Amino acid sequence: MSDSNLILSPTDFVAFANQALDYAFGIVQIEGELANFRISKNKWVYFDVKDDISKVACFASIYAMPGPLKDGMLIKIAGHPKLHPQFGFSITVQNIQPSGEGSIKKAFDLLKASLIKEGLFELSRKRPLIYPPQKIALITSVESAAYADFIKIINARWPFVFITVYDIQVQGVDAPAQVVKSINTANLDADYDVLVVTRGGGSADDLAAFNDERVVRAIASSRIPTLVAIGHEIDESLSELAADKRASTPSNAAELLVPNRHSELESVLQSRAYVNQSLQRAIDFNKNFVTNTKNTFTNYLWTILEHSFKDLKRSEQLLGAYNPNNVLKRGYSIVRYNGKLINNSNLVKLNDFLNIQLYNGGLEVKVEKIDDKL
Amino acid sequence: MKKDNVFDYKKTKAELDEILAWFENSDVSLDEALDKYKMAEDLLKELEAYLIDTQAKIQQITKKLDK
Repeated sequence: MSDSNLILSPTDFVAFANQALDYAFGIVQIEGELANFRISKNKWVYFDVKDDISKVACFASIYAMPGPLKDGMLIKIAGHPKLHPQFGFSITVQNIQPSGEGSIKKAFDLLKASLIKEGLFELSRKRPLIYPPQKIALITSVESAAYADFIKIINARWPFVFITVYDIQVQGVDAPAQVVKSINTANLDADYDVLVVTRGGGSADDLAAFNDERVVRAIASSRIPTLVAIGHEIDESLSELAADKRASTPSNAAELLVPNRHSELESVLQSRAYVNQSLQRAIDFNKNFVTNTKNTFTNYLWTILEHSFKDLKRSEQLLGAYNPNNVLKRGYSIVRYNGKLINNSNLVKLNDFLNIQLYNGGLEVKVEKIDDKL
Repeated sequence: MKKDNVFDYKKTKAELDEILAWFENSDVSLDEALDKYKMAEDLLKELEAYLIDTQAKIQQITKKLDK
C-alpha cells in the first residue's frame, strides 16, 4: 500500500479499505443523534448518527432494533465500519440503544405504547404460577447482588426447590441477546415450573436491556410461566409488564415464589389439630348414634315381646273361662255310644253299653231301661 | 331354610283366636268344646314356648350389642 504507483481497481480498493477498517477499528461505538431513520421492506433499517458537524450512515437488520426509534433521539450504536461496493461508507450496526435519560424515556414510551396496542401486556395473557414450584430457571448474573438475594431468600424459606441458573450479562450491549438466548434455551432445556428473570437496581441505562423489544417479546412468548423482577420497587420495566407476574425486587420475587416453611409447618400443625378435632367429633357423633340406635332397636324388640306375652296371657285367661271341664266339675257328664255323642234316648237300645265321661274318670254302663219322657 | 318348617307365631295366634271366638258362640257343644279346648291349650303352649325362646334370643342380641 505504500507504493504510490500502485493502481487498484474499485473492487480491490473497496476490499483493501474494508480490511484496513476492520484491522483499525473492529467494532466501533458511536453516540449521536438519530436522523433520517427509515425501514425498508420491514427487514432493513437505514439511518444516520450525527452531531453538529458530522453524520455517519448506518445500516442494520430490523432484529437489531431495541424497539421503536424516532429521529432526534440520542442513540448509541455498536457495529463494523464498512465500505460498500456500490453504496459507499456505512456502519453495519449490531446493536442500537437509546442513550441519555430523555431518549431512553422516549424509546421506553414509544415501545410501551406500541406493545400495549398489540395487547402484549393484557391481563388475560397472564398465567398463574405453580405454588410452590419444584424447578426454577433463574436468568441473572451470578455475580450480582440480585442473584445472592434471591438464592438466600429461597434457601431460608423453601430449600426444597431445584434451581438452574442461566448466567448472563444484565447490562451492556450484549445483554439483550444473552437474555433472549437464555429464555429460549430454558424453554427447550427442561420442564421448569417457572422462569425467573431478575437483576438489581441501576440507572436507566443499566436497566435498558429489560426494555429491549427483543427481550420483552421473548418473555411474552415464553412457554414457561414467567416472573420478572428488575431494579427497585419504583422501577418499571417492559419485561415486567410482559411477564406473567411481576416482583418489586429480586428478594420479593423469591418471597412470591415460595412459602415460608416455618409458617407452613405451623399451618400444617394447626390443620392437623383441626382435622383431629373434627374426626373426634365425627367419631363421638357416630358412637352416640350407634348407641341410641342400638337402644332403640332392643327397646323395640322388648316392647313387642312384652306385648306378645300380655296378649297371650289374656288369651290364656279367656280360654280358662271357656274350660268345658268346669261344666263336668259341676256334675254334668258326656255320654257316648261307640264314640258317638248321645244326647237323645232314642239313639240307644236296651243292653247297649255306653261310655260316660266324668270330670274325674269315666264309666261304662249298660242300658237297662229307656225312658224318653225323663 | 324351608319356610314351611318355621314356626309362624302370627298364624298360630290367629288359630288360637279363632278357637276363642268359637267359644263365644252360645251353640257350642260340650263334647266339641273339649276337643277345641285341648287344641287351644296345645296352641297356647306352643306360643308360650316360642315367646320364651324369643326372649332368650333378644337377650343374646342385647348382650352382643352391649359389647
